Amino acid sequence: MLNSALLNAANYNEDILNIYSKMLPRFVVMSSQKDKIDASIEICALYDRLDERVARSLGDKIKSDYPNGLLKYPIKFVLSDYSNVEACKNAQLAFMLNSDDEHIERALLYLRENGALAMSYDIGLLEKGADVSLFIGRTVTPYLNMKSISEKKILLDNLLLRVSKIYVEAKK
Amino acid sequence: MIRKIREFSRKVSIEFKVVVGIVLFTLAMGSIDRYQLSHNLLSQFFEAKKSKNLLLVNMIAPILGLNISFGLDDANSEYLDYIVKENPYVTLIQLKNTQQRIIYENKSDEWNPTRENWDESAKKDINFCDKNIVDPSSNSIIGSVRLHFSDKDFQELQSANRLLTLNLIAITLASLSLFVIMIKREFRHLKELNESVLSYDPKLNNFSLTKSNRSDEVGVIQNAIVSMVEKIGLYTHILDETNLSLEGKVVERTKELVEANEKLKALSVTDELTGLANRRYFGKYLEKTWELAKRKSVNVSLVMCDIDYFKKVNDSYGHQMGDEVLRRVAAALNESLKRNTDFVARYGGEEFVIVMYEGSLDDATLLCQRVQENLKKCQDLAFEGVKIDPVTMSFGISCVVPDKDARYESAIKKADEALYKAKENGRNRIIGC
Repeated sequence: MLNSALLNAANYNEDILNIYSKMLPRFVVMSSQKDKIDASIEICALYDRLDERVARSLGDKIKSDYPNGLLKYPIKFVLSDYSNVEACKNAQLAFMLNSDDEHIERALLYLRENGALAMSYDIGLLEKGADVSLFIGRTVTPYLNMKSISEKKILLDNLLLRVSKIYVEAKK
Repeated sequence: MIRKIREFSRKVSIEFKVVVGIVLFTLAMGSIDRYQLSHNLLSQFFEAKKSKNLLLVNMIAPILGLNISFGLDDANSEYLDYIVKENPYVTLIQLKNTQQRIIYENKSDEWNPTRENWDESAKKDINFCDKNIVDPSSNSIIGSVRLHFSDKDFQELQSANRLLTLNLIAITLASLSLFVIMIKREFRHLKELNESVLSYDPKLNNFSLTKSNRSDEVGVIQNAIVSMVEKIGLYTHILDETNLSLEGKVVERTKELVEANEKLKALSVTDELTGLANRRYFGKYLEKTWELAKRKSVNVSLVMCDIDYFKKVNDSYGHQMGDEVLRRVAAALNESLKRNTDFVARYGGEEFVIVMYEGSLDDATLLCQRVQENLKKCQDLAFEGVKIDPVTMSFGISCVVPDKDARYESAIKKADEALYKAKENGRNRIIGC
């Protein structure tokens, strides 16, 4: 079990996580999700038990990057196991760490129904219905699944669109 | 100064003034036009360049800001590389963080901050663009970007502008040259016209120009002058003929006048029938002689003579014969005078008078005797086939030395009295006193 956790943790790049920690609150305030903010920016991290440390680490990074929150809003970071996806009920954005397909699909379905922006560490989840991920090439670039984003009727800031690439679903 | 300029201006020909005026006007208009064009062109160019540069900076700054806020430094580098590649006029891009540390820099080969034109361009706030990078979410400054744009486009514009100016100058000069040549040709024609008019002599009729086919002002002037010259020639010819005729008439009339004057003069002092001096002239002559004799205290002899029985001649042979007798008596009297100072005149009818200046009574008597002799000589003469009876004359002489109070009328009276005595004593006699 421990070995598996270490193995999974090793799959997460620290630099990429640093980027995600900066990106996550900003995607909320630079999209129509900003309208859903009540008192705080709520970001939910979905993880398998094996990746809990990674999720906590991400939370720490966000706290570190935004000690005073963003704009006038404090940042509430919620950690949630994939088995307890309902914990992300009030979140404007959910960050999905790796998991099995069943968890992933269930979480994506829940997030779609709940209108939360789904950002995944693994770019492969875009194919399954995640909204945003990072493309790791020569440079790191945000990748947007415009199909799922538009289905959720989420509007992104124009600037986000300009710095991002659009994911095109492969024809089956 | 103004006076001198005016005097100089009067000396300069209109042709020169026209050419100088056109050249100055063209240069002034060309210069104003070029200045305006260049000014507008450069202003528009600078504004366009400024807008273009600002547009680029304003476009990239938010993206850079977002990438910085995301921590995507590599994305920024890639993005700025792309910007440099797509914008060849960008010679420098510097991206700095809030601590002014350069986190990205890209310099092209053209980047040379020591060149003077960079400074000049920088002053114009055209080629350099500095902009703060703002976090799109929090609006806080998270860095700055500096761009420098190449001056190459400005140099190219200036070069094109200079080329255009040179072309315009060349075209203007060429056009001006053509125009000046045309003007000179027109003025040459006017000069020829002027020379022809100046050298024209109506008597020689040497005007060489003929009527022109041109319909412009020069043609109109030439045709007017040619018409005028033709009229002058015609009137000159008529005038010459009239003058010649008048000159002949004047010569003829002058000759007639001279002759008439001479005749009148002669008539005024001469007796028409006998050709001797008349009584009027005798009076003047005697008055002068009398005064001279008075001054010199010399004798003046006065002879009054009358043809004896002259009435009988008239009655017997008619007046024409009488006239002929008078003419012959006059000739005889004239022949008898020996001295230049002796003077004979017809006193009236058949009566004659002789004045002898410085002539004594004896001299006068001798003269009378010579007259009698001469009268005898012409007794054989006939008139128109009719033989004339011999005529004699009676003579009365008065000889005096006129004193201060003496008057010539008294001498005449004495001579007349002596003549009367001669008539009384039987005629054909000489009585002196």
